[in-house]
Amino acid sequence: MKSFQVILAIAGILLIAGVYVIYPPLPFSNSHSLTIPEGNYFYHIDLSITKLGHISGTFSDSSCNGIIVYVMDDGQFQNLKAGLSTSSLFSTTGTNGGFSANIVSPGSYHLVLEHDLNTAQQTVQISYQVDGMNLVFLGTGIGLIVAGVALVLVGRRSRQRYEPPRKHSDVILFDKPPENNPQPATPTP
Amino acid sequence: MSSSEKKIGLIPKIVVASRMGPSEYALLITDKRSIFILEKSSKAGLAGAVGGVIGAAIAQAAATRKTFDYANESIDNLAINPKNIVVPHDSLQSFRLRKKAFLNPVFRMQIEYQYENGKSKKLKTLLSPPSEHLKQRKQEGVGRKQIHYDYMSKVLEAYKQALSPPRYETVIGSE
Repeated sequence: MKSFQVILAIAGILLIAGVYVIYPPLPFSNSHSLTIPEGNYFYHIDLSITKLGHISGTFSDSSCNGIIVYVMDDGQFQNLKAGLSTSSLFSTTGTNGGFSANIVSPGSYHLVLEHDLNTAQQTVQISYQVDGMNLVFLGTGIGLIVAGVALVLVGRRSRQRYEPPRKHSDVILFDKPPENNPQPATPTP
Repeated sequence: MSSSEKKIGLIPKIVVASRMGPSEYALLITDKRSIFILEKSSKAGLAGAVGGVIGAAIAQAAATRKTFDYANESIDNLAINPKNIVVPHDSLQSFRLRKKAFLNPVFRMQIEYQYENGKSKKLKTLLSPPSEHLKQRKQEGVGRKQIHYDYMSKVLEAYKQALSPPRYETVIGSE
């Protein structure tokens, strides 16, 4: 395998990988009717997000006691589970409303629903959707495509050194006089 | 066959499409046969199945071209290579030239000939002038349409010289 073929093969891999990374996946959505049990409990919905970049949705508490909705990354969620104080990507309180948070990097994310005013059992309707483009993937994809295009240019230039020019670039009629019949140019050193 | 065989013409570039991707041939026309000499073959079809348009384009770009000294190379040496396609003029059944599409100036060349086992075989090709030729003629101020037409006319001219007049009349057709 010649060097330009290796360069072009790598360029191809980078370009295909770049297109795959940058290609937006289909958004997904879901809705649940769920119950937060009486007591010091919370309910969580776990989401594994790779290429999408935005979580949003709405909730409604039929008991009218109000709930707290958090959008958390995995680290924040582990702190919550361990009973430590933690921040969140987004939080809101009420009997109904909406939530929205941007996903910075791929990973596990959690929608957490907690009692607000008291710890009585609550039935909550929640619907959410994950969509948008993840900036990390967008940047990586663009980077891979740029690197691939650059390697294609390098590969094409390198190829010109390997490929000899054609001796005949026009149709040759062998028994015609030279003035009517283009002959190969004598290569100059 | 070569003792009295005479080289008539050389078409520097002809593209033959296959399942594996387009292959470039040079066509050496003698007074007895047409020899399609494989210069460049790619696995663009296969790469395309794996990597889509990008894979096909990269495979095409990575293919290398071989060149031969057609003026001095022996006809038999070229004909004996199994990668090359040899069409004896005695077995020619039809030869058609037509424009590929209304807006596309490239001409198709379709040769139908009788194969070894008596079956008919069609060879569908594109008369695609080399990029060096296109560049040079464009610099001379010739339009793309005219360049392709001239290229096709020279192919016809070569066959006119290679085939006897009655055979030429029987076999050749252009639209």
